[in-house]
Amino acid sequence: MNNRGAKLRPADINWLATALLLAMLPLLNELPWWMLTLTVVMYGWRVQINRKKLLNPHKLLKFAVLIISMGLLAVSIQNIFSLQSFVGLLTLTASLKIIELEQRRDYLLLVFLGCFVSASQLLFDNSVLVFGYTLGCFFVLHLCLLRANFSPLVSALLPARELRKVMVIFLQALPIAMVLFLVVPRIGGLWQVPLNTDVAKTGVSDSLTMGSIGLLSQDYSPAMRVTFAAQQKPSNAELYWRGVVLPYFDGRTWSRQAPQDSAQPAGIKLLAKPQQLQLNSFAKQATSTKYSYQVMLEVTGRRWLYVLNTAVIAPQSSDWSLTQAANYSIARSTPIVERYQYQVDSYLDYTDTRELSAAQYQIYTQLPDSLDASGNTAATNIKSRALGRQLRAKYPESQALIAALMARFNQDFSYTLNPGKLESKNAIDDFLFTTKQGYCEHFASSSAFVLRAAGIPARIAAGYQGGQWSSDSSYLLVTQADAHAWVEVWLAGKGWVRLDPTTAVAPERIELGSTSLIAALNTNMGFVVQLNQLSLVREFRLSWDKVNYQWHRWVIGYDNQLQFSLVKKLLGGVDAWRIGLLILLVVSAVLLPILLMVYWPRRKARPAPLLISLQKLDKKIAGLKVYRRKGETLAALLDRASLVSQVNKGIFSMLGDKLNSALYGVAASQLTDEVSRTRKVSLEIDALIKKIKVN
Amino acid sequence: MNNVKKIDSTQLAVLEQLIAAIGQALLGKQTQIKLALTCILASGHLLIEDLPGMGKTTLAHAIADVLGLRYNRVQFTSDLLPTDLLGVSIFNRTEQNFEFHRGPIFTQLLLADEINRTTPKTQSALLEAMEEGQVSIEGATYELPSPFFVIATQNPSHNSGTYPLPESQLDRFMMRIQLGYPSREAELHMLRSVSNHVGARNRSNSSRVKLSALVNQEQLESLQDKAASVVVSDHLLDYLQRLIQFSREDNAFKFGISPRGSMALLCAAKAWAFLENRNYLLPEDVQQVFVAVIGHRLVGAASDQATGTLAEYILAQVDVLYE
Repeated sequence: MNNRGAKLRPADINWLATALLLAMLPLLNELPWWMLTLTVVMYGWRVQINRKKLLNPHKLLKFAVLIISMGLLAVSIQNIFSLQSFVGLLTLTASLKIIELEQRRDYLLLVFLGCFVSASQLLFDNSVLVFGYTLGCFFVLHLCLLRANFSPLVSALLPARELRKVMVIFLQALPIAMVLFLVVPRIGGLWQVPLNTDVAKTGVSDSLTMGSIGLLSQDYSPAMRVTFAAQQKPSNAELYWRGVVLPYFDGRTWSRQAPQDSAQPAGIKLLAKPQQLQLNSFAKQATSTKYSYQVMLEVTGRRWLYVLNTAVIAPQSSDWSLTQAANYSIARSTPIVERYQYQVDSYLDYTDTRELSAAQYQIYTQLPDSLDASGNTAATNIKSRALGRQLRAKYPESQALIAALMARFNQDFSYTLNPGKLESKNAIDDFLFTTKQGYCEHFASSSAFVLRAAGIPARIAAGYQGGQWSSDSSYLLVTQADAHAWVEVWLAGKGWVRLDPTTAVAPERIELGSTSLIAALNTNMGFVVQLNQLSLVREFRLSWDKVNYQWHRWVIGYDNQLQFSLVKKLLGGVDAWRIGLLILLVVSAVLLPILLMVYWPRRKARPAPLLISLQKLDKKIAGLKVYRRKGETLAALLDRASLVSQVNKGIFSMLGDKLNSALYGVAASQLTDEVSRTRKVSLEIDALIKKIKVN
Repeated sequence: MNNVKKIDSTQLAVLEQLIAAIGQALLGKQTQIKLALTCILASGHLLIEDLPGMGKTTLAHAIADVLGLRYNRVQFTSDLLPTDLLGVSIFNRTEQNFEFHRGPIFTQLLLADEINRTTPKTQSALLEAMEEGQVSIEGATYELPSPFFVIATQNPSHNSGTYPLPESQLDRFMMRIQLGYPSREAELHMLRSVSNHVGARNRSNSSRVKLSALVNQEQLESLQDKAASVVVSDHLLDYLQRLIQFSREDNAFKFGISPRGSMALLCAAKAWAFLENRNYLLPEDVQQVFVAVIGHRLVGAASDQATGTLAEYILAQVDVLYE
C-alpha cells in the first residue's frame, strides 16, 4: 500500500498476463482466434521493454495498432451490435492495455478489466463448469491484486502464503455474496443482456421427414428436466411429451403450416379456440389423474413447450406470453433462446369430444398430390392409398381398422435406427411394402397416411417420449435421444386419441425408454451409444446432469418469484426490515471477527508476581517524588529514596534485601515450586511496600 | 534464603590477600586490580590499555607473581614474527629430523607487552592459542599448558607506531581495563618510596617489586570453580540480555555485541560477585564489569566515539528491574 507508483516486478507482469490469458481462453469460442495472438504479442512486447530490449511504442504506433485491431474485430464479427462484438471490444481493451503496463495503477486497472473479461464468459454459457472456471480466473486475478498490495519484501516470501490469503478472502466474501444473491432484487429488465437470438435450433423441429428424428437417437444432451410435485411418478407409457402438432403432409414432410404452393384452400382456421372453459371446469372436478410439474426446458430456438396432454398452464405461472392452441399445444410468443422454466398441470384423461367441421375434416384427411415431370398432378404412394381403401372396405369400424393396421406392423415390420434412405416420391410405399423397417417417424408417418387414405382424420404429434429418472427420482431427465413422433386420430365421440404405432412394433421402446431399446437392438451403434450403455458412464452422466439441473434451477433460474418465496420461507416475511437485518447480521458476522482480530489489544503475558510488586513499589515511592531511573539498580533506587524519606529507611533496607534475594537469589530454570514460593515472598514484599509511609 | 551462602572464610581471606598484594605493586588502583582478578577468575584473557608508563606491565607482573603461574613475557615489536612467539622446527643434524622448539607461548601466563606494536600477522598468531588453548604449526597441533592466560598491554591505538588490534582479536579478550593516572596520595606514596631507594643502580628495579606467590594452581582452579557456581536468576539474565539486545538495536552502534560478548559478560559478572563475597549475581555486578567487558567490543556509529562512553550509554538506557 505504501508502494504506490512503484516499479512493477517481472513476476507481477507474468502473473497478470497468465490471469488475463486464462480469462480469455474460453471466450475464443465466440471471439476470433487472433485476439489470443494479439494478447501474447503485447505481453511479449512488454517483457522485452522491461528487459530494455525494446522501446516503449510511440503514441502513433499504439494508435495504429488500436485502429487496426478494432477494424479486424469489426470484420471478424459479422454483427457489430451483437454481444460478441461488445465482449470482443472489452477483451481487446484488456489485451492492448498490457503494453502500457508500467505503473501500479495500470496494473490495478488491468486486474479489474480482467475481472470483467472473465465474467463475460457467463454471458455465453452459464453452466456449472464455466462458473467454476470463472471462479478460478477470479482467484488468480485476486492473487495479482494481493501481490500489488504487498511490499516486494513480503510477497517475495512464499507463494503458499499468498494462496492462503486469497483463499481466506474468498471465504470471507462467500457469506456476503450468498446473502446478496438471496436478497438483492432481481431487476430483470435492467440487467438483461441482448442474448444470442440466433442460437442453433436443436431437437424436435417444426416439420417431420422420415429419418429426421432418427438423427437424434444418439444425442444424449438434455432436452428438458421435469420435477413432479408431491412425489408423483408417472409410468413410462404415460410420458408423452407433446410439443408440436403437424397436420399438413406434402408427400415427404409433415409440417405445422400448410405448404405455400399447396392446392389447399388458404385461410382455413383449424379450431378457433381450445375448449378452455370446459378444460378448466374439468380441472376443478379433479377426479382424473392430475400431474403437476415444473419443466426446465433447454434452449430450443422454437416457441412451443413440451407438456403431457392435456395441459393447463398453472395459475401461479407468471408468464403471460404463453398461449394454448386449438390442439392444446402450448407455445410462448417468443422463441426459447435461454433456458426456460414453466409450471403446468396435466389431465391425461381429458378429451375434447367436439365434432370436426367439414374444413377440419378435409385438412386432417388430406393426402398430397404432387406434380410429375410433365407438370400434371399425379398421385403418389398409390399402393398405400389402395391399402387404406382396402382396410376401410374390410373394417367399417374405425377402431377395428386401426387394430388391423397395428397387427400388420406387429407381424412383419421391425424397428431399427438404421432404416436406410427412403427418399423417393413414394417413400411410404417403399416403407410399407419393401423395406418394412423403420424408426418411430416411419411408423407414425405411414400410419397417418394409411388412416387418412381410409378416411380417418389423423395427424402427427412430435415431442419426446419417456425420460430417465434421476438416482433419487427427484426429477426426470429427457434427452434428445428420447425424441419421438406418434399419431393422433380423431374418432367420433372420443375426439383426438393418441395412437403410437411404435408400441405395436417395439413396445419396449415405450416401456423401457430409448436407451434400453437401443441396448436391446444391439445393432452396430456408434461409439457414443456404446459408451452410454456402460452403467458406470450412465450413472455418471445422470449424477452430473443432476448437478447441472440443480445449478440451473436454483442459481441461474433464481428469479423474483423464487426469491420471494425463499426469503419468505427463511425469514418468515418479506419486509424491508427483515432483509436489512439479514444483510446486517451476515455482514457483521463476517466483519466483526476481522475487526476484533485487528483491534483487540494484544494479550500481554501476565507479569510475574515479583514484577507486580516492583510496579507497586514504583507507584508507592512516586508518592515520595522518587522515580526510578533507567539503568538504576534496586539498591541505588532505595538509597535515593532513603535520602528523601528518612522515616522509611528501615523498611527500604529490608525491602532491598528481600527483593534482591527474591529477584536474583534463585538460579534460573529452577522452576519447580518456584511459583508458590515467589508468591509467598511477593506477599511479604507487598506487605512491606504498604508500610512505606507517604505523608 | 537457604541457598544464599557466604563463601568460606579461607577462600575469602585468600582473595583479600591477593588484592592487597597486587595493591602493593600498583598503588591506588583497587578497582582495576579487582577487575583484573575477576578476569582471571572467569578464565578470561585481559587487555590492559593505557599510555606508556602508567603501570600496565607492573600490574601484569604482579598478577603473574601472586598467582604462582609459570609465565613468559614477550615484548611485541614491529619485527616480531609468529615463529618467535609460537616456536619453530629446526633440523637436528645428529638425529636427521626436524625438532620443534617451543616458543614463549608455551607457558601458563603469557605477558604480551605492547601487543599493538607488532604486525597484524603476529597478532593473529595469538588467535588460536587464546580461543582454543592450542597451537597448530606445520600440520601438528600442540596443546598449551593449563591454565593459559594472556595478559596483554597496549598503548592507545592513536599512538604512533601502533597496529590497532582487529575486532576479531579484541573480541577474544574478556576484558579491557584502563589504569589512568594515580591519585595524588598514591603518587606521593610511590615517589616517597622511590626516593628512599637511593642510587641509580637500583632505580630501575624500584617499581618492579618481586611478589611471592599466594596461591598454587589447584587453589586457583578451585577459586575459578567457585566463581562459576555463582547463582544467576531469570530476572538477572533478562536484564543482561536486554543490555546486549540494546546494543544490537540502538542506532548508536555500528554492530551489536556478539554472543561471545554476552557470555563473557555473564562469566565476568559472576566472578565479580564472587569477589564481592556473594554467591548470587546482582545487577550491580553486571554494571561493575560492564564497561571493562563490553567497552572494547563496541564500535560506535560515529567513528571517533570513545568506546567506554558507549558502554556507559547502554547502562544508562536499559531498565534494570523491568521494562
